[in-house]
Amino acid sequence: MFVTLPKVFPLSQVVKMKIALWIAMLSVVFQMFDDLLIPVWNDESIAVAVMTVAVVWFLFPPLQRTAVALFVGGLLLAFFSGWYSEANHTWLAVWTLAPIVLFASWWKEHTYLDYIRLTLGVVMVVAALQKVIAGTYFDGSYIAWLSYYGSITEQTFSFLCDRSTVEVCGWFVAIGFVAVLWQLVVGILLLGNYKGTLVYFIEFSFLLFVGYFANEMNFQVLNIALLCMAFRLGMPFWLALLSIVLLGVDVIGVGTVVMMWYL
Amino acid sequence: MMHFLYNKKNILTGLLLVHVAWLSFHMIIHAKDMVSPWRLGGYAMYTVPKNDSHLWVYNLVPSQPLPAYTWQLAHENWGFNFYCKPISASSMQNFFAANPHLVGVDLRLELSTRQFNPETVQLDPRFIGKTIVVWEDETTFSYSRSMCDDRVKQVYFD
Repeated sequence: MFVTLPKVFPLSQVVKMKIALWIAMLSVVFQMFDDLLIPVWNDESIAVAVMTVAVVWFLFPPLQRTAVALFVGGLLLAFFSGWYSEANHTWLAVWTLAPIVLFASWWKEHTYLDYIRLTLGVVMVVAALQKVIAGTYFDGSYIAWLSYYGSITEQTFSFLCDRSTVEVCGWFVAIGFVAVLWQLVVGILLLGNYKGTLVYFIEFSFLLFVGYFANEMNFQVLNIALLCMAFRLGMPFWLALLSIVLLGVDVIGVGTVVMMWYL
Repeated sequence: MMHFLYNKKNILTGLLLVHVAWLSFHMIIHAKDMVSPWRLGGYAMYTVPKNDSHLWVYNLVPSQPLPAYTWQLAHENWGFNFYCKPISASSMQNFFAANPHLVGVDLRLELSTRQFNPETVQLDPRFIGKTIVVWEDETTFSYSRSMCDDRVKQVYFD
């Protein structure tokens, strides 16, 4: 009477882990792709071209180890040719993805996967502490600045205060507190190796919300892919598709997509 | 030492420690306002609006802006993202090689950025430092550097 639908694309755990890595690599290429648009070849554009080839090669199983090595080579070349101006996205990619060449079967190496988790945990805690040091979240001034001068998504909370002038109201202070606390909790949960549905919800929802609010999905896709690897969950097909869509949204601009949605 | 590196766990532990050390260093210099929070892998982006630094080139007397190719100079001085890093001598030589029309012209190079003011919720101009270049003869120049010295006074030039 009831028809049981077969699972679409039943993927093994190993394949899911490899998809997560592929999405992480793809996010790095998307982040640096504009280097390929300049009319001259330099270290950075060569590096991005190498990484692009590696991302394509990775789709062919016999070439995957070579592709990963090639990608790491391109990543390091890009990084060391302009480390002082690289986005934090690239720094995080170097710290987390470069060591993968040490492991032939990285997806079952607890040492490497725990290293990713700890690195992400440290980064989240440090990012929260940097906000504490700057003080601009606890006094609400940064949220106020974004609410007045920011992109359409950064102005999400502008309705809470007087829109006619740049002013800090209690709501902005509260939002600043919540943002720092949320990030700190994400970091502590990662460092403590806590797992479970609620933990995953806290962590993934933070990344997605920050990606929307800060108008930058690319960095969050890298983080999501790394989390999928660190938790040994791998990346299911639907999440990989969503990640690719988000990378495309990032190219257009989250704010532009939101405006298109409403207009 | 080499034996230590044979163990992959040791390598990753070492990398993690180096990363934590770098982040601690970044936090310290960010707290002292000596580094661009958006750069150098310290994850202090989104603490203030993005504020890349910019190098302006002026005639020394009379003071007027001059067109100059400054990308190479920025590249050789780490993009001016370490605000207090003085401009190196070799990069100055390369600067004149890339800008032959400025050879023999006394210059003032001014590095500035915009700083977020939480009280007014505005971006204020911020003077970081200057380099004065004086030509001794047709082939020799001397230069004096004062990076970060005048930050508190917020000296502005016309």
